[in-house]
Amino acid sequence: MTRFGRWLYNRVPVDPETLRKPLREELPVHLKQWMLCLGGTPLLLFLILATTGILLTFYYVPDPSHAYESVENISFHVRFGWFIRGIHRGAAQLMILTTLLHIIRVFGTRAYRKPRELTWMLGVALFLTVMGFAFTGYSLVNDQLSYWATIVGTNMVGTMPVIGKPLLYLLRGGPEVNPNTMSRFYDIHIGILPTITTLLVVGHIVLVRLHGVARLEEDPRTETYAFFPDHVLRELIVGLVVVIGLVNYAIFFPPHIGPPANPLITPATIRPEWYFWPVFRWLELVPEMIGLAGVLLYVLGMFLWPFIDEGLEKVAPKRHLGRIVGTVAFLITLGLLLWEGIAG
Amino acid sequence: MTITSQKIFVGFLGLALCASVATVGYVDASRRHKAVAETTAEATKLNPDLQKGAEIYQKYTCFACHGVDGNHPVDNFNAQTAQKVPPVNHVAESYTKEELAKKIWDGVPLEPKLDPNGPTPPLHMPSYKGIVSQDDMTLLVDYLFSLKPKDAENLGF
Repeated sequence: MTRFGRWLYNRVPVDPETLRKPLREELPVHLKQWMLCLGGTPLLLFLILATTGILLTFYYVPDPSHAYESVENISFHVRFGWFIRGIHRGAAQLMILTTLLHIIRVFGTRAYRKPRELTWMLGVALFLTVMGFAFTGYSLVNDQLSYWATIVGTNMVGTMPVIGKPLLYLLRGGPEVNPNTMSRFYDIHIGILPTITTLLVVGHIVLVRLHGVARLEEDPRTETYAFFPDHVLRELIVGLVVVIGLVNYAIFFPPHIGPPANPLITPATIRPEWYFWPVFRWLELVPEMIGLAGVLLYVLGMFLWPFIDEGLEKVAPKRHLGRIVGTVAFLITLGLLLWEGIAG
Repeated sequence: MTITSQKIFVGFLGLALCASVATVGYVDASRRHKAVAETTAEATKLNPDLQKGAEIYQKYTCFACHGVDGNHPVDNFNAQTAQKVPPVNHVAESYTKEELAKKIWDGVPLEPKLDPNGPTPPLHMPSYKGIVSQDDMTLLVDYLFSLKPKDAENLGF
């Protein structure tokens, strides 16, 4: 041990071997496939979003009379402002996409089975916080489309039975979207959600590390490979590809901004961002209360899926009912997304 | 993929990232330059007095040394000002209007040398006393002050 190592060990008496142990962890060989090791990407994107988000707060003014102007200033006048906002916007879209892909992969390989139910539930909770980030973040731009998307989005909350009205007041700070709404959304976006997400991420990672990576069902291979350096290098390659992609996305598709919010002029088409299209299309198809109940059931079903799947397995062993239900739900969601994308 | 080939791949990706980041710097500089030019052109177009100031800047051939936009001066070997004629688009930050008018009228007869033992810089600011009238000087100074980039104090991230 070096002199500095001894000095540090005397002050932080943790055996260095304990710290090195996780690096030597052996991982199942299926993780060598890119599509099966997507968990690290949302984490990297979360760190990128946190960093660029903090930088954006240097210039963003969370006040309805100045918010639009400040976003415009960031996008067109502040040096590298276009780049920071471009990365933040691109990383947000990619965060939703990669989180979805990770969920689909875990679902498809049934990696949520006992004893990893809690890991899955924390993952679904993380996905919900990501959607919360996306909704509140989009509304902060305060251009015409984001303003009206905020009205439509919060209206949906208000239709919920019993808790709808109080929740709507809590979110908006009044019956209508008003100056209080923006400061509340800003607090949620930069304070409440990041805190919840950090706690969930820590919990999720701790559980993954405690249980180890789940082996694939029906995979006879027993070989493993080292976390360091082999897996770290793979994650590094994925990370670098993501960062290079984001930088070039910001260069070739620099952020823009629509006309400023005008409460007196309703746009011809009000539509949320693509990740809310399935919900949006679904609510257009069915009566409001049934639609909302459907969305809540869907989320609850996702959340409790490990237990539902276990139950289905007991009812009809070896029939793969869970996989059939999941595939149907996935196809319906994808269908609604494409429908809204093409017809909307 | 072996560990060695992964390391080589990481190296290539690192280079690609460096190239992308360098492109960001280039794009930002281009956007800034374009924005400043547009702001200046817009301000000049909207204000007839500034338009007159721009014409005076042309008339006395200030552009020949300081550049058409005041920001692209010509070389001036061994001058303390980075071996170039000083640009004039930031004068609003260094002078009051009175000081600037006096500087133009007085000129700089002897340009300070970068290397005291080196040759005298070939260009120096001539005196415009008796050449530029008080009224023209007011318009010219206002125009030069208007060249200050809109976001000059906005340093960015």
